[in-house]
Amino acid sequence: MRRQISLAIDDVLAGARHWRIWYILGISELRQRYRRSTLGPFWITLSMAVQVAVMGLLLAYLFSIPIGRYIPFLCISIVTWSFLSTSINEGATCFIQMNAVILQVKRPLSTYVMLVLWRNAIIYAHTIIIFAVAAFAFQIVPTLPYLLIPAGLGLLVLNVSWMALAAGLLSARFRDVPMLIQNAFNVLVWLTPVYYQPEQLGPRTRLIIELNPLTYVLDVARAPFLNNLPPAFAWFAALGVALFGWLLTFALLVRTRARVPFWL
Amino acid sequence: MAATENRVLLESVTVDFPIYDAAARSLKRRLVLDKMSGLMAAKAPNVGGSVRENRQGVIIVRALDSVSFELVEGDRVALIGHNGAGKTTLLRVVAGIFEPTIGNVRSDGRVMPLFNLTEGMSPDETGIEMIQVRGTLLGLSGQEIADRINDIAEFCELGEYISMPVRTYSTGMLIRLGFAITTSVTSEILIMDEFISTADAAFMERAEARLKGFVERANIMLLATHSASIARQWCNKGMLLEHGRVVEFGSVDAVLETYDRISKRHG
Repeated sequence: MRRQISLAIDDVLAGARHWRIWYILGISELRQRYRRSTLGPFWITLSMAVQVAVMGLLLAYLFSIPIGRYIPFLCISIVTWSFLSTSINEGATCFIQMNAVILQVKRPLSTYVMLVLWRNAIIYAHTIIIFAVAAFAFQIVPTLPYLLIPAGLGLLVLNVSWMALAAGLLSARFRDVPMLIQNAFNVLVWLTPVYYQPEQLGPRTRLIIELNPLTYVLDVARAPFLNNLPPAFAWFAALGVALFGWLLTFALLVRTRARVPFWL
Repeated sequence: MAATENRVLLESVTVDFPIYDAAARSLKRRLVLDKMSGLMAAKAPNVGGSVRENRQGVIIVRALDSVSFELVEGDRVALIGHNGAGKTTLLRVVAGIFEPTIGNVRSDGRVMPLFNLTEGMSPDETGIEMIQVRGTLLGLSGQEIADRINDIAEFCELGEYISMPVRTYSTGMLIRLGFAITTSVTSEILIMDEFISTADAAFMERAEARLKGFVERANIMLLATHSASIARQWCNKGMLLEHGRVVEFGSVDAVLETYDRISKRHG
């Protein structure tokens, strides 16, 4: 047991130490995906921009919120949410898809999760441009809350990483899990304040999203961009979920790490 | 080179494989299990390890059964056995990919397993990108890769093609590139599933010299092969695996002889 715990710690540390592997593979994968296209990864930027423009105009009208307030919110909201949901969904299949490589070379399992996060971080960097444009257009001037962006993004990554790792480990053994997660996210996008703001809900309906931990994870990574200070409770909730989640995921890693190659 | 001696040590290593695909409940599972044990006993006495069912109803295949041996520097071992005898599983255990269910494994030294020369190759990458990606996968640092690019390009005689997408390469060029990248790495403990083949006849002679250097740089080699001539040419020891057990570990010739005898007995 002690040995398994130290091997699991090793797995995570070694994944970080051998960062060159996922760094190069992540870039090479994106390079391949957009090879010979003129826009390259900016296709994601473009398609998300179109989505935000259409949804933003329509929903601002339906919600009767001034466009100048709603569109920047929607931009950062969708960019952050798609990093979160894509990373977790890809995390679920990362070991299954990399089975050929995993069975060929001894490498920490965490490498493949970091690869997923890194790839999606690159995409995040490409799509955050949409928000930058919207912020410029609607004259959002960075003020003090911008200093909290690193902390908010740090908590986001900390949370997404345990969720992606746990999803990957469970999916390697139970092949229904990727489908389950995919379907859960179809619903979660509505049970988390992504397209709307919590204040738009009545006090009783609001309870649902207040019980959803993703609400806080999203909030601390998003609000500073809009010059808003997330409430202290949101920070504690996001941090609490990260610690508790990592504890559970680590226990799962201790139990399953050595078995994953046998399941592939 | 590491300061310590390179060594591979296995102490009563047993590896059990859970087979979840076959674990459909009830009748179907029974049939599968009966059929498999029947098959093993009667028709194919050389194939596979023992098959049983655990308490949760998952089918367990014992791929390796209390395997113990030690490899020291200078050992070049040909791993011989029928399909399904557990050769690949044993290689994966030595490479650290599979952790044994019971027993201990120690591999002291930089281990490089080679199962596939073209792993990580995708048609749209250029030769140079290919060298970078595959070199990284094989554990080279950025500097080490930069140092090797010229040597690899020269050896492959790729010329200008090195910065073209690999899909424009002929099959021979592609194999040469994979071969050159792989053999530019130094591994203390070399593990191979089937020997590197170079196919291209014109290229054979130069390949042979390079291959020799590559194999000689390794202090220990464990090579699974079906070819007696390759075993005799490249190895100084042989290990015979049957049903996940080491039946014989000694000189190449003695092991090949036993293998022939067993093969004949079972037709």
